[in-house]
Amino acid sequence: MNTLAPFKMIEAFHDHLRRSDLKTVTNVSSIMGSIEDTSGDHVPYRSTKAALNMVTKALSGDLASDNIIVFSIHPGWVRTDMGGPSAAVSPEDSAAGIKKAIENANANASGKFFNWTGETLPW
Amino acid sequence: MTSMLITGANRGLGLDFVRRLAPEGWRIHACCRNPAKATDLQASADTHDVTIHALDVADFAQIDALKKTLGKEPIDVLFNNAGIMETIQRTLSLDHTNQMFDTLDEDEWMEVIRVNTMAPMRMCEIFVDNVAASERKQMLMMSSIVGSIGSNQTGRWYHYATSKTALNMVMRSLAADLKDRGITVMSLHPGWTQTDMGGPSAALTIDESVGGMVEVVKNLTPADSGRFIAWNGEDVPW
Repeated sequence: MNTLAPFKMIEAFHDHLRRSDLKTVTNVSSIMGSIEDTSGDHVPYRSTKAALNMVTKALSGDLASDNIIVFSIHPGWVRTDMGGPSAAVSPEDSAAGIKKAIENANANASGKFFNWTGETLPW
Repeated sequence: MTSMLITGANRGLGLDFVRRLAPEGWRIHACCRNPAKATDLQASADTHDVTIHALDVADFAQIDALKKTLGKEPIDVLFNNAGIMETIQRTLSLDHTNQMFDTLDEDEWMEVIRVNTMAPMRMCEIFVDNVAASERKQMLMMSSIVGSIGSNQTGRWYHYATSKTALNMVMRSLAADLKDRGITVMSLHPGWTQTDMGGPSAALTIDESVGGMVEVVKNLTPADSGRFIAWNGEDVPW
């Protein structure tokens, strides 16, 4: 679900991306997938998000010749069904941050891992 | 007496660890899928304190069975060494077309993740009390720089790469979760080595790779928990 499916989506829609204007893939990852920052527990979720970040990095190399941009983004701890009611960020603010990242994406953004607020996160 | 439980011990890097440590008096539980064919490993078992166990790490019931065999015996070093590039045996090359973009094989990919990522986690869960009861209290993961996100510039080897990235996350999570029990957890990068997986044109001999890793392992302290260290002692980026 978290690793193979995003890869399959990109494979399946590769040609659509190639023919588009923005040519951008956004993988919604999580700070919990940052190997550097990890604090234990939730191992299946953490390891699948770390593996998704590897998919992002590897695809950024493979798809560079098509000028396709691939990046991972941490949406923040959001008041969704997953994040729960006491989460810090509203869905509106998170989505607006991700939208901005997509609009600002360029070749330098490909293969990176961003926070929803714009800064780069460690692998 | 120091003891080690090691998977994938019948050939390559795992076998060389056994050959080096057994003569030094280590008690070794050496696991492999098919002991009947492990003639090199058997030679060590004939002359040293090496016990061979049949274990296919992909079959978690076999891990549970091994736990019953070993009971509460302390294990100083649990070494998750077994790993696969793919389910068929091939030498590492740049043309693994089944692991390149536009060639998704989900069954193959899931099997690689089961062996390389989930099985080490399962081993650590099942044997955590044995490790905690030992002197050294160490859990080692045979990872690879191919799983380093920061080092990956080229794509390819998606199954293997993601499985080792995820293994490094398992390692880091366990390092945090088991800190209070005094357990040191770390990942090793063996270098590109002349094993069955690495092929004959690899940069390092098994002797150079394992020689370096043995020194890394012998010098580990609790402060090293959560690190990803290459055969030559250098840290590998995530």
